[in-house]
Amino acid sequence: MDVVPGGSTPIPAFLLRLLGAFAMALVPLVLILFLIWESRKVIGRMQDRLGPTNAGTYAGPFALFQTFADGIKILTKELIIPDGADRPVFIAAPILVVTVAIAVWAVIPLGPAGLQVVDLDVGAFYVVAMSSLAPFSMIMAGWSSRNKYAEVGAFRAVSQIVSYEIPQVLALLAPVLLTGSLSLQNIIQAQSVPYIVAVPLAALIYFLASAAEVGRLPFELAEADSEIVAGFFTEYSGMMFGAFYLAEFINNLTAAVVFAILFLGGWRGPWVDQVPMLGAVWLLLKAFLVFNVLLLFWAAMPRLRIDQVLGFNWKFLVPLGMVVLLAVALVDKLLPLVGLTDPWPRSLGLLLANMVLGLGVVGVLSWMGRRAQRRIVRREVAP
Amino acid sequence: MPVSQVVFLAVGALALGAAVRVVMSHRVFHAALWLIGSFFGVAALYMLLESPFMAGIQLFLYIGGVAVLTVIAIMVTKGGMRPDRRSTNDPWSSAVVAVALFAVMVWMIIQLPLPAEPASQVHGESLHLLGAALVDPEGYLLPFEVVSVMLLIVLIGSLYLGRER
Amino acid sequence: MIHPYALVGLFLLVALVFGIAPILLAWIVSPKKLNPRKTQVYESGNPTFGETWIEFKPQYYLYGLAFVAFDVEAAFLFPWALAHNQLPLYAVLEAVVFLALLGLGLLYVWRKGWLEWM
Repeated sequence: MDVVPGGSTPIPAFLLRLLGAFAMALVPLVLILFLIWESRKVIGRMQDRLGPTNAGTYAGPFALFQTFADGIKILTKELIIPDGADRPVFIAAPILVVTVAIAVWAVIPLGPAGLQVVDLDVGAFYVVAMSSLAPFSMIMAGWSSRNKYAEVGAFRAVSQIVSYEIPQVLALLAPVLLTGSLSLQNIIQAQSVPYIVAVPLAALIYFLASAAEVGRLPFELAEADSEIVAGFFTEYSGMMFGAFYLAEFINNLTAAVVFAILFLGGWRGPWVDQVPMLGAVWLLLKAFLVFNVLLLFWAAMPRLRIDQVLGFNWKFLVPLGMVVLLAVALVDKLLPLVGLTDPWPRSLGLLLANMVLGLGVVGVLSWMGRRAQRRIVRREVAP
Repeated sequence: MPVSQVVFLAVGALALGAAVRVVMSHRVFHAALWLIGSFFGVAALYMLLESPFMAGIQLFLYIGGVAVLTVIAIMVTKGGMRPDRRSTNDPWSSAVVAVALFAVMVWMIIQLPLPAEPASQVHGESLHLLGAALVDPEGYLLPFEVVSVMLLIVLIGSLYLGRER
Repeated sequence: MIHPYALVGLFLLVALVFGIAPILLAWIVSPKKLNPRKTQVYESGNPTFGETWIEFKPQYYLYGLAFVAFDVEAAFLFPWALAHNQLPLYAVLEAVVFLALLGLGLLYVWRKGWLEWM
């Protein structure tokens, strides 16, 4: 491979690219500063309380600078490494978790052209590959801490994340299949009708799997405040803890952004043709919407047990994911035979198939529920 | 020396270095982590060979699957963090054997005729071709389905072996 | 013009810098007043006793195994999904067979009760 096709390395172009890469890496970090504050406010309201306010020291209007204050506090806390912990691994874990969280942003397209570090022709697969690196920092953190709670948290987190990758990938293959390309730009550009209309079941599966992947309630057992202290990052203090916290929020944002790209049409929106920068606005608005739905989950739902989490994945999401993918592929092949090839009829045809499938699933589930109910009644009636 | 050559040497050195650390680590857990490092190196080499899909497969399947499984297995066994004794009494003989094997392999590879021109220049389309070939009855359809059977055996076999008794 | 794949590598290095920077900054800025009680392993205030590395349930490993099987399955589906638009109908049926084989395996394992947690 020619690192620089043509031979020589033009320095100014290289610096420009480096600058672009830095700028893109800064995007999630800057957004997070706002989003952490917003999360705490919104969750507070959802739980009938106020969230951060200016009750004590002033922290900006509506306590906007609370995140800064917290950041500074975390930065200045002592970094304690417990006795007997595996030092290099212990320190590498928080570094790795942030690196992987930011690495995904290499292929995120903020706009129609040029607002992206690289439009890899395997963009969607890159996203998948990067998220499969997530379990490692957890294992490293949990294992090197030399702490029972941390280890338990690490094992649970890893088995959850690793299991939910399967339905996430299966659901992601639906928009890839409909587009015929892994490039995120191509996927966006093919969505004259957003894919959430065409394959709502796949979108739902992807959403749930992503929620589990990033550790949002109800899948929050990796962190499980009040159960196993703080899970795999129990022993971490100061900025090392801050790194895990930061990475978790970045992952949430990334999950929301990727969902918006795959199913909500990415940067598409009115007037993007005239003002390409507007694409970034649309994308971030859509991602913000998804992010807030995830917040709603956090505020409203209880935590599931590990066996419930894994059961939900392997006995429901994985089979459903396989069926949905196959159904979408089949219907997509059959539609041109009936003559429906334009975007809108095609999407509606797929939507119909999805709804039929959804009704079928609901039917099966309610039948199973009734059967279980009958079994319980029978047991009570029998002498 | 063109930039790509420098990058290749650097990546190769890193991958090899990680591989050496795998063998030389005193603790199994560290060996596993260095193994992940060498997988990264291989993935980077795939990128240099202009196959981002294979690089992604390295990350997705090897690191995300095999390495995770290996690490979980290490964590199951209690002695994972104890420094291990050397597994062999005579590291120098082992080194000689390893170098000899390597020399034989290099000699064999040098015998191979190098292709006159590089393989086809398709980039993004190559994956589509692969996909078409996988389901083509005159292509790789049979291996494709056999893979599924193999995975079936893996799934049932492993869960059977690990069942509650 | 720089090759796109090199850009990915560049971005990964940038991401690494962003990963190291906060830790480094914190290490410079934070106080370092270690004493034995601070570095004790956490166990709700009680001193730890016994080996602190625990053995855990093999079920974790089994779920990992199942994951690897499906992981490979998913990897094979990527090229198929890409080429889908250009393939005739029977390609879908072949994929059905592919997924059905493993899906039936999952069903079998489920009914046999080997997927239960404890």
